[in-house]
Amino acid sequence: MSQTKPTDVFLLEAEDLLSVIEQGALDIAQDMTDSDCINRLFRAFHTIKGSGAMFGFDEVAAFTHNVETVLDEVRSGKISFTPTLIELILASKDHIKNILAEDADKKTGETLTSELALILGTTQTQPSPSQEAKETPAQKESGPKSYQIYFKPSPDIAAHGLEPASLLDELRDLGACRIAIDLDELPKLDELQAESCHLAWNIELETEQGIDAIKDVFIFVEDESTIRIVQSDTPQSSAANQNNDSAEAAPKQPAKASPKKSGVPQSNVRVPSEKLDRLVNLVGELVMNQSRLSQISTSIDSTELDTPVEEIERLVSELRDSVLGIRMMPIGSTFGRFRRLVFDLSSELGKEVELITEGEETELDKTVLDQLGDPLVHLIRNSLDHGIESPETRAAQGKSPRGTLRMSASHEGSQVVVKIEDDGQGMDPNKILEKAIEKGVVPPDANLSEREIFNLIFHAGFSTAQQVTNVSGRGVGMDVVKRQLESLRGSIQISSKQGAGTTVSLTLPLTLAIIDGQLVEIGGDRYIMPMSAITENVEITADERTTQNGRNLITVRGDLVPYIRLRELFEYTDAAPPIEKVVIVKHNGERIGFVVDRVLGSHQTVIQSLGKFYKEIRVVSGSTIMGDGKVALILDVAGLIADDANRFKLAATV
Amino acid sequence: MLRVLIIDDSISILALLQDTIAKAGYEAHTAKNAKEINESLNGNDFDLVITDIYMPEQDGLETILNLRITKPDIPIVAMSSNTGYSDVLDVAKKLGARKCLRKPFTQEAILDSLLETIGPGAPSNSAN
Repeated sequence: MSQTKPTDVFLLEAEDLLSVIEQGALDIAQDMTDSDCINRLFRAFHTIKGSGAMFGFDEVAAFTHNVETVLDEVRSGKISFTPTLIELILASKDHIKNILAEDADKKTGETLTSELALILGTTQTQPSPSQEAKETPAQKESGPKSYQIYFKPSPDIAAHGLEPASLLDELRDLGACRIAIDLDELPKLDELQAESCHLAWNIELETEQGIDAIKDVFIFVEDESTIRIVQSDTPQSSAANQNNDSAEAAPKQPAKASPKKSGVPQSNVRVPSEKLDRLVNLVGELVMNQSRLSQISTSIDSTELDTPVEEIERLVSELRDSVLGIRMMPIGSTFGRFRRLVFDLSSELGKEVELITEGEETELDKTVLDQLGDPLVHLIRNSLDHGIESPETRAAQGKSPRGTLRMSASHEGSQVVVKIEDDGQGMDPNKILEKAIEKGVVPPDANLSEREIFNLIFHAGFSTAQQVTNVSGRGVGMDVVKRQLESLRGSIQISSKQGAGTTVSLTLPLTLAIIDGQLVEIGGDRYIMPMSAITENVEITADERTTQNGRNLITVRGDLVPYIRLRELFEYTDAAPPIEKVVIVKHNGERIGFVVDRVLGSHQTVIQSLGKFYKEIRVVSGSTIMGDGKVALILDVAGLIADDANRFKLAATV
Repeated sequence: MLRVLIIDDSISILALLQDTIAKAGYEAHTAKNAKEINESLNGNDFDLVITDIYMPEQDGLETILNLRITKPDIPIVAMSSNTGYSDVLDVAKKLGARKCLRKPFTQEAILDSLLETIGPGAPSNSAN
């Protein structure tokens, strides 16, 4: 069945592990003593090395070995984490990625290797040549240390062939030992299971040996048991550890809790996304054929046929929902990728930034997620580069020196709203307006609301100017961001308060595979317009069309709304009905009408792409096959407006 | 057909070994975490278990130990890449692993150890 080659599986796996490494390294940047995390990091490098070697990626294996060795020392407490080491690990991760992509620079590898060796070298020679100090460099002075050990074996330890008493004996071999039994969890006699172990022990051990020697005693039981080892004569660390203890003293078993976290994704099945795309296409075709079948069945009017056709209809719609559901992925993984960006950028810019993410579980179509990356990178860069001030400036303004960047996602109806918020300096509407007037984007006497002014930064003419960044703080390539979002059938809003920060909200459809549309008819052909943009439908008579002196304007409740007559655009030559319909859509906060012959009603449909021959056509975003087998084109509102603007050189409304 | 259980947390290694071992005429099963190991071992009889050592949740040494206690007749092949200060394969051997393979190893090496421990697989074209 599996057509995927093991080597491909390795490359996929390596990709996963590399992202585990990145996340792990960034987690450690927050808490350098997080041992779960250190283990996770170590294991990821270990697997890359081991598997890499098996698949003949010798360079990967050789390079990874260096990182693994360093992490092994960290794991055993001989080296502690430093920001430099974290940067080194991240750089190593990038290097491994490059080797796998056959895009590696040999020099980078050599530099990294020697830097890693340096870390190993310094720790092995620095602390003290004495053997003991090497064993436990965490402690400054040699001689016996005392440890507080808590050991609670799993109830079924005996069933695993292990005897707690022998472990205690081994501890006694290490040094002077005071062992106190803990009977707290001993059940009443009638509930007591003679085969189970209900006991726990508190042990005070004084030993010349390091903590590793103690851990070795418990090596075979550590996953099953609750074991806490605290060195008691270094007040600081023991206090910290005890805090930890009280926090997790509850039923949870610390040793067991962490692997489960990393174990979760393993129960998933990995499928290349092309297979999924193919599945979605097939289901799309199935849906169309099913509706043709329903249509035929209605015309034949046979009760015998009705029942299975209805059943198929139900099954197909369920199938469609579940297949589309498979494509939905939580946005958390996308957010996660930006932690690295924020980490790198803020150290590069000398800023302190805390990234807060909310709503990671919010699900979006994979295609949307994939294409959301670039715009988000842009927005985050803007926030860090121009929004959040340097720690000094912030402090001078009475703000916390550490800026906050908040990324959140939430559902709003059939759409998802992604917000990027910073608490930086915000945007100055006056400066933006000044710049816009200077650039000729708006006339000097323009009277614009604050929101309209902020929207100016999406104007292509505005953002090309490099120096805008120094003035307004924003504006680099925002038109690109906007275009990308529109291609996802999404929209972007911006709000900002000077001195307090900027919020950019992205509104996105849940999925690109299905469109909630309104079916319209022009000259006997049917078209679909995306429902999300439509605000209302009004009528227009031939008289009304001619009274505006040839200008395409219609009065809707006192306001003049420009319109595009689609039958003219698409060059239909047959006679138009005496009363046409105008579908009013809201685009960039402006109302624009599209004149069609008839409005047929709402229609939810699976989008079929037109294929690459038609990719230059911007006014149509896809097609769908109707129940009767005819094709209906899906109109792209943004494309239509842009096309019209080009055609008549109309100034873009915003 | 002789049944082999392969345990590793690396899905690519599992894919590779399963491929190799199945093509040599053995029935190859895989397990990648504690849950799968227990499910596989509880429900089935295997003629051989191949296990990686350094694994999350349930360490390979633990698996070996459990197997030695519960199913002492099943021969075990341990595999690991060398890491840092302690040689886990030595420990594996002491715990009763019949063969120890250091990663990276060749396809011949794994097939050789199968041959030595449980004998040849069924003649070909039952590869999948």
